[in-house]
Amino acid sequence: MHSASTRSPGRGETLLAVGAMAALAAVLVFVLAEQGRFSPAVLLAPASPTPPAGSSPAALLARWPGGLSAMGQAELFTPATLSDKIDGKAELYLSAGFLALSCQRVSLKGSTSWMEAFVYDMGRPADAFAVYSSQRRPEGRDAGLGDFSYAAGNELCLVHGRYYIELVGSDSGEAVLGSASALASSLIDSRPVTEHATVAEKALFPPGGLVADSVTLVPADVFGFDRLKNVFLARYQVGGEEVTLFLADRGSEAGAAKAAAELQAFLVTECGGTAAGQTAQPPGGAIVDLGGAFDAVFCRGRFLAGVHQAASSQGAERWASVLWGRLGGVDR
Amino acid sequence: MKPETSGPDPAPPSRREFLRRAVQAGAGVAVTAALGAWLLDRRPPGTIGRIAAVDARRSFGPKGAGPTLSIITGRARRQMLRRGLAAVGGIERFIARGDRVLIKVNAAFASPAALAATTHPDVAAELVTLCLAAGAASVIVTDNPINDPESCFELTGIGPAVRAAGGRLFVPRADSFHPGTVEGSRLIRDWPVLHSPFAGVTKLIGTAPVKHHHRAGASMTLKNWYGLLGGRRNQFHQDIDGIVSELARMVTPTFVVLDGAQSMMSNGPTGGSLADLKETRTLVVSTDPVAADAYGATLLGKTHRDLPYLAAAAALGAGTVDFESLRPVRAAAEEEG
Amino acid sequence: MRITTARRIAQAFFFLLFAWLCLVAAVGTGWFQWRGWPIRWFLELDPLVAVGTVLTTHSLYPGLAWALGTIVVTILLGRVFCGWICPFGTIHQAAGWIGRHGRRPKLVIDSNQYHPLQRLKYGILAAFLVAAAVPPKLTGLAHLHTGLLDPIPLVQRSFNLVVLPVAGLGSGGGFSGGRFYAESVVIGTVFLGFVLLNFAVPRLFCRFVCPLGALLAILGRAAPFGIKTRKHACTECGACNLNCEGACNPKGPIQVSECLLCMNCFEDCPTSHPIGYGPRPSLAGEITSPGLSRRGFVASVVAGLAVVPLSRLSGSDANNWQAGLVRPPGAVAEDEFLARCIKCGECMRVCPTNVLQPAGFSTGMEVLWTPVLNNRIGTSGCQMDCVACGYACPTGAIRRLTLDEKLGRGESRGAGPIRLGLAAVDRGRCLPWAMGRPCIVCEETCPVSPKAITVEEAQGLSPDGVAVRLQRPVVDPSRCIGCGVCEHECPMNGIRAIRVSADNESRDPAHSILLHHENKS
Repeated sequence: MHSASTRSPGRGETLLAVGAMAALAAVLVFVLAEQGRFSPAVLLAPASPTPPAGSSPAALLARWPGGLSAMGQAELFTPATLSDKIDGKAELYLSAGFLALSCQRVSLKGSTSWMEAFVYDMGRPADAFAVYSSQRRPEGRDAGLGDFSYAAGNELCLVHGRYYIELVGSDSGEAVLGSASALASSLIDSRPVTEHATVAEKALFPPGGLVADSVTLVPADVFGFDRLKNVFLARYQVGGEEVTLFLADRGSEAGAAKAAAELQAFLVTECGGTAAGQTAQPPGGAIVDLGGAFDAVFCRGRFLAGVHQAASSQGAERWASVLWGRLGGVDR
Repeated sequence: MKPETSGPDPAPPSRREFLRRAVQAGAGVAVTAALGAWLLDRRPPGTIGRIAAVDARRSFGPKGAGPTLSIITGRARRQMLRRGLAAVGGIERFIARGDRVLIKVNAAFASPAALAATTHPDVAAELVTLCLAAGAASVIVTDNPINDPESCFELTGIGPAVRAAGGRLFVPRADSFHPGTVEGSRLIRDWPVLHSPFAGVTKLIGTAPVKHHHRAGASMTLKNWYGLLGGRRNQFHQDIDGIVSELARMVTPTFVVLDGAQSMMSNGPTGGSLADLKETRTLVVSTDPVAADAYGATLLGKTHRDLPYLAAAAALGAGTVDFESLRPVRAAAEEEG
Repeated sequence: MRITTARRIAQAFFFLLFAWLCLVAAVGTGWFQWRGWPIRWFLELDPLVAVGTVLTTHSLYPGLAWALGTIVVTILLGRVFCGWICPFGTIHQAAGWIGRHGRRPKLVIDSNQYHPLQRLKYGILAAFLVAAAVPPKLTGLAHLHTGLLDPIPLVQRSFNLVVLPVAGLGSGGGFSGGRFYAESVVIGTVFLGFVLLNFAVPRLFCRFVCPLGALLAILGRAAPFGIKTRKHACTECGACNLNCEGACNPKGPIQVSECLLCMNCFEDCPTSHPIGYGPRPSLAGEITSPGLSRRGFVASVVAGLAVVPLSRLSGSDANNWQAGLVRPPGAVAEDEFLARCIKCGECMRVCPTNVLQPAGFSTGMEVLWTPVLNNRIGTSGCQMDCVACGYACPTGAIRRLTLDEKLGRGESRGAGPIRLGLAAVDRGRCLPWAMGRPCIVCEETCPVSPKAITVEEAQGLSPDGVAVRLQRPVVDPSRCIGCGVCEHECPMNGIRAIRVSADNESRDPAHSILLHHENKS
């Protein structure tokens, strides 16, 4: 299309063209200089949609155990932002007094496997135990780490004083679980605690028929009752019969009696139960018929205790009597 | 626009022509630079279309003498009004020759005069007549009604009566309002307030009927100032006592006329049935709207304690709830016919 | 060095620079992110943006002072911007070159003849500017509509919202794509349509439509320098039309206003130097008037005068204001917003959550393609710690906020936070309110502290008749900032059970629903 012009540019034209090129060079210099002066928008705004809650720690650990290395930075979540990370599970943690979650992904060197470490600061060992026990998987094996621990599938979970730690692997291979143990030990060592989780209440439950590792501390909303908090539950299996025993230290005899009365009233008014008499042993205990399942509520000393969902009124009374006996030694 | 062409192959380009164009271009560049410098960030974002609020206070209190109050019994509103004014010193005490008078009536609803939801046309017309007789240069009657303004003035009968008496009706439009602030006010800040009918005005008279009000308890001369507010004023219903008491501080009238010939005892402020009305046969003229309303409350079987805005208005210095302290003149109007 | 070579280099340079500045418009400090790149620069160079906003606001937003430079260059040299700089022009030139490749020279020469309809663009410009210049006393602030056809906002919008996302370069953070834009089909069709029309007539947009070209033509019509032709040396062969971009009739009398200074006539003229560049006038005669007839001019003025009252007739800026249009943080009151916004899409490109979207036809012609929040489409609502949109806005339709100003803290404590609107629970759709199922997602995700969403404890019946404890969300209007995070997260993912409207937005005091002092908490 283009007529092959043999015209050679004159001096004026060349001068003009070179002038234009000089102008382009000036623009380029301006643009390159500008890009180094950061816009306030960039300095103020987060690059990712997740709002950072306070300062993010650079890493969970100053030095990673051999074979592990960090993938990206650690993230920090507060009560206000916890649900961004764990969504629906947040309520369980929040009701147990959650303070902060630090988490970070780590990769296994020389493998495609990785895991994510979650360190929940629950404030008190009892609260750490509460979130640990209420999520404990029945098939978990004791891992011998921290105050309480278990390994199940691709997970290793443990209580270390006020901390609840979860290590979740990308698979359940030997390499991952081995690294998880090493990482757990490092995390424990890097976080010295003064108070350990010792759950004296565990020993108060009668051993006969107790389902292994079923003792759970429920932080709030026990049996759906919003005023019933921090209650230990234990599941029992004898023959084909299943029943749950519960107990809670209410601090004083009066406190325990009040809690027992409130729970009894809740079962009758809110759960549609009917009072089904009193127990002789424990003295003054109440049996409530919840449409075929029977609950017993009583107190001894500063303990509120009882039986949940026994198959019969007699069964409820029998279990109540056993539990009452166990509380005898510590009721003052 | 005829294309300007130079002829075919004219003389070689003259230096003069180039210079002419260069000067023209130079002038263009200079104008561009000057305009740019003048316009640069002259009105930063967020400052355009905002009209600065002015002081919204409306002070037209009568000079000399303390507050006065007259309580007149009777049936005929015109006679009661004349008697009531005479009892507090006559219209001449308030309106002088050459005054420009603004009368704020209650024309909130397009309902007939018989339902007593609005200022009675007799009261409005008699006020106009009296003011003109006292030598007022002009008398303007206005309100910012809730229903369509034109029909409110016509259907209540206020419009025709005022025109017949020689007064002028002011029907507010969107541009009749101006943002206003009352110093120290919590609620009336940068809020559209009826502005243009006040231009040149020297005296302000308020007049309202005695009405039950679901939100405020009762609507009388103080609640009547609500009609001076523009904008989406119904949000003030979140704090009705606050806004009525602040209106009391915003407006100091020359005097008010509270018409209790009939009082709306229930279903206020709209009413709608003659069954809501009671013949209370009273009319109050006062320079103190708080005292007038405090007396009006008794016509509704209430006391000033039932209307928290009265005490609040008194606390803001708008008047007194103890109307007896004003030594009210009590009299009966001669009945006509 | 040939001048046409220099021009091609310049066009390539500015086009690549433009594409780069679109590409990096993503919040971040990385090399492929915003950093300090002057992402608004092409818009700021555009005199039509400057003139349009000056006419509506009587003020020049500081960055737009760049346009003064363009105006000065145009006054001295003519339409250099069109032929050398404009990225849309470069696209048209490339498309036109492809379109005419292989066609018979006669047809090509004919397609580059001056056509009287090229005067249409002056009419378009006059209508736009008259609409922008209507005095506010008559009708209130004028709405600015130049952005619909102004080539820089048009190409910027098309690149930001269509071209880059389609190419998988749509991300707010690097190259990960995954952006969504409403209206993309219409915006893309307009863009592609104008580009494809080059196959029918080269530079059709530039010659017949472009209001910026028209403005520059008027500014540069008496430039002291330009193309000049020596008539006596001309053989009337027509070769100068072979690649003439502006269809300005170089052989004379030249249509000065149409010349884009592409300099192709130099190259194509077979005789020795009948065409040159330098001080004027051209020896073959020149036509400097745009040539718009009086009738055409009056029609344009009338059309422009009608635009403002026409767009106000809907009452959408009065009692019938559109509470569905939730504007970005820092957006000025709607009247002024529409007097400033040029629909360039910069804010929508930089928005890290993709929540800013172009408004569609259904919301009215006057707000078409202006930014609104759509909490369903993005990855979240408006982020608390982000003010990027205001810094991307070239005209101040969105103010540049500090974080303190946005959040109502520090020196801005007294003014309260910027409220985009108000969330309201739809109790007929909300799981715990209407369906007896527990859910507190909105309360959990509310980023305001203390939370604007609280829960009321209630006993309810689950669908199978069992008593359940429910927590039902309630919004506190004095705390809600309208960020839309709750709406985004609501599990009723069709029509959300909590939705944000522009009620109580802080940019317009008349839209407040609470008493003055309550909104300052």
